[in-house]
Amino acid sequence: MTIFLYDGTLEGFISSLPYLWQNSNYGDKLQSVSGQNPEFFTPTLTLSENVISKVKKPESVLYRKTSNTLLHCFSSKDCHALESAPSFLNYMKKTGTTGFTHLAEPSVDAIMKAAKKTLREAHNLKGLLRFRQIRSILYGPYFSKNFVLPILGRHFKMRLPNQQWLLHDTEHKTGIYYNGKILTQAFFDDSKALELEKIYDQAGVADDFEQLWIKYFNTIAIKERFNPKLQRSFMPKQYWKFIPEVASRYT
Amino acid sequence: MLIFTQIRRYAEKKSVFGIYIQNVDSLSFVRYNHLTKMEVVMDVMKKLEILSASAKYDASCSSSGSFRETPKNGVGNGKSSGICHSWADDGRCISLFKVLFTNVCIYDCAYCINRRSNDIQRTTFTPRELADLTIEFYKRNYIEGLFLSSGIIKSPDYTMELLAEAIRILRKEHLFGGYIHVKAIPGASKELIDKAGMLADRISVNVELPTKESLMRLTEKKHTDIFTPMKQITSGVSISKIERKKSRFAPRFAPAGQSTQLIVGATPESDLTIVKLSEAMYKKFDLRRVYYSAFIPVNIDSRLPALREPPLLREHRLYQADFLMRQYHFEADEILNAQHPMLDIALDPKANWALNHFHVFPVEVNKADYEMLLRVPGIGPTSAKRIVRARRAQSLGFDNIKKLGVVLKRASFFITCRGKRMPAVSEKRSDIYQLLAESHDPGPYQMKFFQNTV
Repeated sequence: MTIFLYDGTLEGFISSLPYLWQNSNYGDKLQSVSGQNPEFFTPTLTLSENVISKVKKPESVLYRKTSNTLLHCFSSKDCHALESAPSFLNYMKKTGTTGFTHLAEPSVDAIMKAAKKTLREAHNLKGLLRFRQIRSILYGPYFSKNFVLPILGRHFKMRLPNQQWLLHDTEHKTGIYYNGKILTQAFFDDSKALELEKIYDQAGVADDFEQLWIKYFNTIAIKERFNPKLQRSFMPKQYWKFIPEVASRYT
Repeated sequence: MLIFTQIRRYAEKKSVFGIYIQNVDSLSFVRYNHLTKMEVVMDVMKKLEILSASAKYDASCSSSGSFRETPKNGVGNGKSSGICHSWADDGRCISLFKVLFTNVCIYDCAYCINRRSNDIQRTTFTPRELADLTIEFYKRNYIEGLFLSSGIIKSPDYTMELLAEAIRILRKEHLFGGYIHVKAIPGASKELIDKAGMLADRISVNVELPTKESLMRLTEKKHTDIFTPMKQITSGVSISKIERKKSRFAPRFAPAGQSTQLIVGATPESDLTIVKLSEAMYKKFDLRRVYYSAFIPVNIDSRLPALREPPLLREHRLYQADFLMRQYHFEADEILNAQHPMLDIALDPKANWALNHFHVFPVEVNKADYEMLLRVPGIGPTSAKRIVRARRAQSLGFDNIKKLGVVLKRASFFITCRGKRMPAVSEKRSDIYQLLAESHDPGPYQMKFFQNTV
């Protein structure tokens, strides 16, 4: 068994996948340099740039699908699952794409569960994200536990191709700006975020459609069937801050 | 004088809603009130409040089953999974902008809040107003699309034409690619229903009540022919499917199919009647869903029962029975029969079936076929599929199937893994009934002095 160490960044992770695909064995572990659990008798190998740059990226569909799943896994907050990435890659190499459904295999189970976390939150946020019209731009700040920005970016590019919009992931302090043609990554430092928050609050009062929506939201519930517990289970409180119809209840 | 005050109100609104009123200027007026025949002025906010409050009793809000690409230079696409955007205080999801076109109605159905004889404020959207509102909501990601129902103004044809016009503006002028669910008005002409079906993703008619006798008793004669439009929609969908096989550019008629809704508890029909009716509609009209809505008394009427609270648990059990028919390969006769015409309130219908057929259990998880796995309480379609795939690689134990999503609390009585039962699990039928049944005793209830109860 070997422990592979990568630098902990997304770029470092993506670049080390082709190396692991070719040179790792079932049972090996992948850890980031910063979050390393030192094990005394296990040999470690640091995946430095000149180690991984010698390996060419495989072209197969199987590799693409596997690495895609691992990317979703990386985006999730569940970092421990990544440890079994070398085992997962080796298992997939052995079984082919049917391996994705072999959920009784521990490495597949761990990776698929973590990837599912990202995908599930991305699906929820496709619905729960709210835009607010600020001049000609639709500004959509949101909170997310897992890093789902790329998935949301692709989704809204398909959905609102002729609009200008800005997605803002307040947790990871990054975003995507779409100018009607191409997606660009945007970064938000603290002062910029504060400034935007101020503009955002003012725009909320001025946006009449938002007031109409809040009115609609309050009238559509049937009071004989009142069930706030069910409501919270579908729409957890952590998202409420940026959802105008429930933002006033957020503490 | 009245008009003056109204205009002043309008002017005040204008200063508050500066941008908005400029955009839809002439549209923020309603010219016609059905009851008083009087000129009234009403802004969009008020209209929205009235017409969404009237629409909330429609249960359907699904946006799934239809894939649509964003039109060129347009807005919006359809996801086949459907997306829920919000959840109201009653816990029901808000996926579509659910609203009535008008709450004016020429009919007088006993159970309906919008019936002619009710003294409520009436209003009507204009088609363009509704289309503009939908687009603006959609752009802000509040909704997945539009659910458009309506009271019947003047005549069924007139109403259907207005509905079709509203969705035509959405699709053809705003180039909207999102989901549209429109109600077909019973009695409207075939051409108008076809026109709406070509533009919408789903078109549906509500059965409202389980038998024709009940319908005759609680509604007006003209309003009772529900199955004619349902047949029309079915034939429209099947013709379109055949055409799509010949050419993939052929227009699609209601790609998400049709659904219907009926009220539970307003009339004395048994669950058996309801479940049989649903099964017949699934088979005959190829329905995607039947929605059940627990009867909520909104009118005082001698023909309706007085209930303490809506029969929500009965509604829940009917939904469970309905899912058994649609996704678990059950027949209506297996769920209920003439000796037991009502569903057990304490126990879900699947567990009930399993206890009544106790001799077929336990089943071996590693060998049983998919259909048999589906019949085990605690195993649903997703976990059954996962089991079938995962056991190709290795034999499964209890710890494995727990990770696959099987609810062992329910399933453990009915399964074995590698030939062995789960340790310390009861094998007596009566014990299992006690363990599975949910307690629904509401507890002591303080009666009110002036309340009529039955």
